[in-house]
Amino acid sequence: MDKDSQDVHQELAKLKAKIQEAREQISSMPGIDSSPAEQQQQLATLREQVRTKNQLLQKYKSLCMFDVPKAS
Amino acid sequence: IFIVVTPGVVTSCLAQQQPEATMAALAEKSTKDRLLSVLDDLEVLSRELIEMLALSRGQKLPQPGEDVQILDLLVQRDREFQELMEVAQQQGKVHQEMQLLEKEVEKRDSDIQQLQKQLKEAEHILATAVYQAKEKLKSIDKARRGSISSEEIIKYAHRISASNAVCAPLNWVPGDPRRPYPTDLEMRSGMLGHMANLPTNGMNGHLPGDALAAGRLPDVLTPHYPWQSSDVSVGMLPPHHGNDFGLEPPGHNKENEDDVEAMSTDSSSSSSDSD
Repeated sequence: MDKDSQDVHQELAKLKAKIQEAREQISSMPGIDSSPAEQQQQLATLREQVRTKNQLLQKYKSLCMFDVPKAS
Repeated sequence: IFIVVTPGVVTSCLAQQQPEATMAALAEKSTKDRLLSVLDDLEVLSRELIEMLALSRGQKLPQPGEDVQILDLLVQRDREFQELMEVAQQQGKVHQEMQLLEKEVEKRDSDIQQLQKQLKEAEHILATAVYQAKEKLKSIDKARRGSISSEEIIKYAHRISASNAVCAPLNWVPGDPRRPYPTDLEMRSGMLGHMANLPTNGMNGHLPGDALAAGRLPDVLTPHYPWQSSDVSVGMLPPHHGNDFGLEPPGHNKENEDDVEAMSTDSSSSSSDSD
């Protein structure tokens, strides 16, 4: 009976350690700090930012410069 | 070691199953929080099960169906955990894509900043150029309004240099009464001197006192200048735009004319020889 209790206690300690390790691994996993819906929203926002900034740069790079009038 | 089964734990785990509302509330939570919460439940349930099994050897179970309940909950929680892990895996991939997008956003930001800097520089350069051009236009306009004929300026220059003001005459020796400035006698013998009838004061020490007092020069010592003629009333007139004024007095001598002709070719022609 005592040995069983000791075994149980040992197994419980191992279980606790494993679960703690699992907790640490979960904490270090990237990208799960928000819910899937929030993450999708953030992704859409980022895509929109990139698109807008690309458009802005394209606009200014292709902006019409000075029209030099030809000498008559 | 006494292990006490706490029915409250099972009840709380059972309670977490039911309501859709709490699930909705849980859905707002981050995946990490949900995973940790399920893991806590798993830990508690598995401990309870083990403790129950250990207890059942010695004592009678207080509630006969409780072990089945715990097992069912455990299986359910494990299923949830597996589903959440799949969601977490998907979120990890999305996170990688977001990191790439963030890098691209940073690059675009730096490009925009660079463009902004260049535009500011161009604006500064253009503003400076426009300002300078405006100033130049003002100067041009001012010059046009105050334009003088180059012929007149050249004539003036010739007259000034013809009076030996810039260089002594070639035959000048010490003792020669000629000076590069109008002397006292010359001033007195001019228009102003005759008009004012100024008394002589002997400032010019070139001549004998009598001649000085009389205000006359002996003919021998009378300086002879190109612009002087029989008519002493002709003097320097004030400058006047576009007028051909008396630069060439009626009795001007040929010497002066020759000097004008030779000026452009001979650098020493500005001082004319008298006598």
